[in-house]
Parts: sequence; structure tokens; C-alpha cells
Amino acid sequence: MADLKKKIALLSNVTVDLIVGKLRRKYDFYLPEGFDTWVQEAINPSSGLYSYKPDAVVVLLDGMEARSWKNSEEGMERVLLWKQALTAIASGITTVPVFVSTIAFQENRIRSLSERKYGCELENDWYQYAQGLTENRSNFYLFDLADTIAEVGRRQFYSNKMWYMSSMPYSRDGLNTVSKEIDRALDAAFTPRRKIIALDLDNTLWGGVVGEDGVEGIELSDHKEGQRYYDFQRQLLEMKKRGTILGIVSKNNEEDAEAAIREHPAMLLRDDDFVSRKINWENKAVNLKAMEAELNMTEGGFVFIDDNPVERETVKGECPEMLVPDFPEDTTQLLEFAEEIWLDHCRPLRVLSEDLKKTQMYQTEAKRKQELNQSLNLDDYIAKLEITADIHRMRPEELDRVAQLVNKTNQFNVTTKRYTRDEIEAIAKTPGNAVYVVYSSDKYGDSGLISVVILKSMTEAIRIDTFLMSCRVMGRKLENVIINELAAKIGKKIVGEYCPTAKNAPVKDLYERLGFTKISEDDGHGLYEMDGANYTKKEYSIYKQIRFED
Amino acid sequence: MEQKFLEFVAEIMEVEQVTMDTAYREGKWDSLMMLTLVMELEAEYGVSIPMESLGHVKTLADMYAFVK
Repeated sequence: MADLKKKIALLSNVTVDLIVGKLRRKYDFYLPEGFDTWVQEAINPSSGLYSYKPDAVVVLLDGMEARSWKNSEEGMERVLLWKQALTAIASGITTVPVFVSTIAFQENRIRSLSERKYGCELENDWYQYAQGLTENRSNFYLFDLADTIAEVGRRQFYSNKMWYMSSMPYSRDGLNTVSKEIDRALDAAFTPRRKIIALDLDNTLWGGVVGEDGVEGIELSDHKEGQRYYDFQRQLLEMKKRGTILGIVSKNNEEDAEAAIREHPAMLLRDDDFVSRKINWENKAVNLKAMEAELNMTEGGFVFIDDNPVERETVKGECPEMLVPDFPEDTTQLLEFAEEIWLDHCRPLRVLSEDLKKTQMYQTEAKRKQELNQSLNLDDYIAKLEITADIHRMRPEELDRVAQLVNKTNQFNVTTKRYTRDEIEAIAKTPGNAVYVVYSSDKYGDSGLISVVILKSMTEAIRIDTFLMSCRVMGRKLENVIINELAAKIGKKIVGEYCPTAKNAPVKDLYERLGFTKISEDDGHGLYEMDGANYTKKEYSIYKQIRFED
Repeated sequence: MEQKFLEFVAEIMEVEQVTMDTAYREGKWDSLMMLTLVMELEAEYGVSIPMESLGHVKTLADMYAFVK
């Protein structure tokens, strides 16, 4: 399939042609005709904005506009109008991402030392409104232009000359920065995020070499010189809290490294913040590949951070898909270094409650693998894990997680149909159809919502439109349990389908394994059926508990 | 100096080559490109190009006069 460019509608109160110029190689753009016509576009349901059918909408609002306002009342009216425009967009565009900018007004500096700053109040009013939208609409996100301007500095960000000449208010730096931030926001929507950061220890998480300097001797503290590593760790901890997981790949004596992680008073990252540790004298590429296998992850999900350029080059050579950024030579830049990695490669659109538990989930996964190695066969292993399964119809609060799984599950996904949140909601509401979700846990912990089955009604039969499972729980035969419960419930003919993709080979013969009969196969695409009317429900005694609630 | 200027301009206009005689409002050098040129030249050469003088610009030689 050709990799089509994403279609972006860019709405703004300033001229944005030059921004489009910077990004047009990567995206196709729709701009409303004329200057500052975005409000009309938004309010008119038959405007180009809606007929363009964008893959994302960016609303970029610049405070430079306030220069043309006669007084503060005009400002308040304008912001009110913007809110109406946004409300219209929120009802017209409910599935694709909409990025709404924050705004920074340039307060006229001709004022006394005791005058009210109306701009400040309007900024905050707008922020509250935009933030409210991101909380109440699952497809709305904040584009923090005000923060970007503050970061660069207004003098450097803007150019009066550009503004007078073209109604485009930015300097070269400003234009480059705003274009890059738009690109980053769109990347969060369209480019897969890196999920794990594998870290070296010596001269990376702390200064010095623990094996030589001792736990007391390494450079790490919550103030002065050692704070650069402390701050770096804090950034990593903040990422971990948002679902990016952390691992260690270090050439060290395990006892020395563990002692520093456990005992050093200024270590922010402790033992249980890492999902996997490879502390040995083995080649780092070998260690990283072992970590990939252990966590069921692909190389493309990894970032590897190491101060040693030789290690970095080896890893780049052996693991070409891995992101291996240059480590800053000046370690006072570590804080920004972490920030850039986050913004470019890890930042998600939204953090869901499942993401918060990721570190714990991967840690328990490692323990399970150990158990498997000690077990004799798969059934014994499953029994030892004390697995539970809870199958029920999707509830409204589960819609976000279901949409997330439907759109990102690749391996255990028989049809790989992608649906938006609203489409799933509509399917669930259609009589005859059903969306089931499955939760699972074992003695090591709760895996959360791990499987989705979408059933669609046909005359005389039920078709399994979607059957997917998170790779975290693959290999536990939960698919048998799920189909067993559903087949007994459905009680008529069940049709299953397999559509091959580059990644779903693990479920190629799923339906045959589940006792379906193949009725046709065309170019790898298989159709299967099962006589649900005469289905005899099986008992699975290897699981601790199975619950089914229709 | 002249050569570097021409290479810089060619890169911005995304063309193979430009000369001092390359004329405004021809080829890729439209008013939007003029804007980009002013922005890039000011930032690159650390100069301020007066808006008033832009009305008299006919060729790249006139632009070069602002930065040399």
C-alpha cells in the first residue's frame, strides 16, 4: 500500500503559507481562502474545512492579532467568537485529532506600573476553554504555542518586519520553531512512539564509574554539579510516569551497580523503576536483543542512551532500527537532551490509565517467563500462573482503551480493521452487534483490558468482525476460553475471517486451532465457520477463574 | 562572498543556480519568496533590510547590496 501523505487542515489568524512551505514534503495542507477566515470556515458546516476530510486539524492562534484591537472589549469579543468557532469544530470533527493552540498576547508596554494586564486574563480564559476541550473531547489536544514562544523568547521569536510585510509574524527562528512543534504534534498522532529507553549507568545516569569510585564517590546530588544527573533522572522518571518504560544495559559488576541504585541517597530511579536490567560484561547489542525478546518488543520501539561513542556505534551497526542519539558532550545539557527525546519520539497524545501501569506489567511479565522456563509443559505453566479471565460487553468507560487496542494491535489481530472511537461506539449500539472485552490477571498482577471481540450480525449467522489480543498475554490459550464462552452464548453459526498482514502471522491458523472449518481461502485470506447451534461448551480447569457476563 | 551569497539564495529558492541578474517576479522569486529571502538574509547576515528599499529591488544584485 502506498504511503499517502496525511491531510492537515491548518487554521490560523495569521498567514501560515511559510509554515506550509516548511512541512509540505511530509503533509498535504488545506488552508482557508483569504486572511483570518478560519472562524467562518469553522462555523459554516459546508465549508472546505469539512469537505476536505482532514486527517488532523491544527488551530494556530497568534497573539499578534491583538495589535489591531481598539480596546479590551474588542479582545473579549474576539475570544468569544473563537470559542464559538471551536465549539463548531468540536461538533463537526469528532474522530480525527484537533490541536488547539494556547495564545500569548504581547501586552503593550506603554503602560504604568499599576495597570491591569487584559492580555494575561484573556490568555488564561482561552487556556481554560481549550484545556476543557481536551478533557471533554477524546480527539482534542493542546498545541502549546504560548510555551513555545516563552521558551524561545519573544524578541527572537517574532519579527515586526515580517508582520508588516505579510501578516506572518515570525522571525526565521520563530518560523522554524513553530513548524517543528506542529510537526512534533502531528508525529504524536501519526508516527509510532518509542516505548522503552535502555540506559547505560556510568557517566550516563551518574558521573564517574561506580566500580572504581565506589557508591560514595559517584557524582550525583540534588544540588550543584551533581544535579545535572539528578535532573536527567527526574526527566526519565517523569517519562516513566507517562508510560515510557526504562531498562538498564551496563558493563559493570552487578553488585556495584545494584548498590548504587539501592543505596545512593540522590538516586531518583530505583530498582522497581526498571523493567529489565542487563548488568554484565556482554556485548551491549546482544544484551539489547535479549531485552527485546524478553519484553516482546521490537527494535523500533527502543531508544538506547550511552555516553560512550564506541558502544553507540556498535549498537547502531547491530540494531539499525533502534534510536541511538548522540550523548551531549557538555553534560549540563542533559535535561534538554531528555526533553528532546521525549518530544521527538516518545510523547503520546494522551496518557491512559493502562499506560501508567506499564512498568509493573513488564516486570511481572519477566517473572512469568522465568516460571515458564521452570514448568514442564504449557498447561502446567498456565495452571501455575493462576490466570483469571473476565469477559463482558464493553462499557462506555472502556471505549478509549478499546479504540487504543483496535488501532495499535498488530500481531494477534485476525482482521486488523481499524475503527475510530466513535465508529466502535456506533457498532456497539447497532442491534444484533456486540463488542466484548476481556480482562485478565494472574498471580503476579493485573494485565487489564487485553482483548476485544467485535461481533456483527448476519442473516442466520454471527460474523467475528474483529478478534484481537494484546501481545502481553499471547500464548496462554485465552482465545480458547473466549471463543468457548461466546460460542455457547451465540448458539448459531459463527463465521471467522483471517486477513493476512505483515505482522499477524501468529494467528494465521487461529480459527483452525479453535475448531472452525475452513470454507475458503483466497490469496492467504481465509474464511472459516463453526456450527454454534450444536456447540458443546468445554470446561477449562487450568484457569483459576473464568467469568462471563453478557 | 558573492559566490556564497548566490549559493545561499539558490538553496533557499530550491533551484540549481542563480546569478546577480536573476530578476524579481521571475521563476521562483515571487512575493512570498521575497519574504523568505528577507527573513533568511537578515538572519544569516545579521543585517536589517529597510522595508522601503524593497520596492526598488529588480535583481539579486540589489539584494546583495543589502548584505555586503
